[in-house]
Amino acid sequence: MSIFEKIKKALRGKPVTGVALISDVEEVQQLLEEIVQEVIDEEAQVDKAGKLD
Amino acid sequence: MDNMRLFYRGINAKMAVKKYNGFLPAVIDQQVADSLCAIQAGNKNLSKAMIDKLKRHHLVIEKNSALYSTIPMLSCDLSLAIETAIKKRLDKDFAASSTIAKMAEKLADKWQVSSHVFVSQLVLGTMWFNMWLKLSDNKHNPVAVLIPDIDLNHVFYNEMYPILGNNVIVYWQSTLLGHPDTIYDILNDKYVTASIQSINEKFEFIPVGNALVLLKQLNMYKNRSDENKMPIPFIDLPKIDQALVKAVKGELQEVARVFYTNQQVLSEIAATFYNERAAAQGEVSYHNFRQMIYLVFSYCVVEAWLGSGLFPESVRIRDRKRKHNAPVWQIK
Repeated sequence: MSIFEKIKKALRGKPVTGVALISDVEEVQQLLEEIVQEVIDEEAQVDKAGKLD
Repeated sequence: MDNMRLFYRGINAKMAVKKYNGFLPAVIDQQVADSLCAIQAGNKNLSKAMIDKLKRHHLVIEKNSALYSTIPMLSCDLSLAIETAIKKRLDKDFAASSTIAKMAEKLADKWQVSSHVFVSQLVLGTMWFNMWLKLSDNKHNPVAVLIPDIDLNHVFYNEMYPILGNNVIVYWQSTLLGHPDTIYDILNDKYVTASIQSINEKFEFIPVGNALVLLKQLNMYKNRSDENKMPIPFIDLPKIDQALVKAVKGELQEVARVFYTNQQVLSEIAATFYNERAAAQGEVSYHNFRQMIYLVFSYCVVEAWLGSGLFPESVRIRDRKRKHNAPVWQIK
């Protein structure tokens, strides 16, 4: 069974739709981008330190 | 910020195409998608006009009198093999379900009404795709152009619909249990569009034609009374804003860390599969091929979330359209 088939099965009888309003859409996107960038920077530092060890 | 437009094709697909070298799913019509699948499945009966069109847009390359698609098709067999590799290599909680559970607990009542959109659009849609783009070798590389088995295409259909200033309506639905265009049709109906154009800062609008009937199907509005006790409809939907995102910032950072680790392993998996790809995918670039691995990963994440029981039950919207029987392709 492919992953798509499995999701099809998992969805049976489960919710399939969602509608919402995102207000401050630009700020929300900015926040998420910042979170991702912070984590990338942090993890890159950790990777670098690991390599030096 | 520009990167995000790629995934919000409802807003600015044209800009995305102008800025980046790839094609968006929205740009490829169904006939082109069918033809690309047919080529990878070994079917050579394409019209000359179609072949010329595909060549003109660099979607196929002719080599030794044979046509090769530059865009990968994700068949069921391939997706299964990728899924197996992903689950073997990644950590057990690769979807960060335990962190999503913490978010659900923190957001409590708000989670009940907006969880699907929150995780599908913000966590998976924005965070994962952003991680993927930022860690990509070159941000100007083409965007994913993926043609999964047609019948299973767009398992989750996300779209954003601009409503007023810095606000958008965002939705997702599965195409497996409903027609993909149901919500799209409603939001793009001429009466709904005209009504929404009249919206004011309090989200009140003047209904035109049968707009209220259509918006009712999505539970999108309520009425309030004006000074003359006349009902005034206004858009009323579960709301996601900065405050909500800030409230779960710590959890979102945890999810981003999981995605960071996953991305590195996924790249290695992609390289292995790329080296062993079918002859029909010989002219597909590594970048395009890697998008398939990321797509299957995204589905694996959604599957894990659905299986975790973190989402509240919600009511399906009624769908009068029936899915047609689409062809099934296999890579030869």
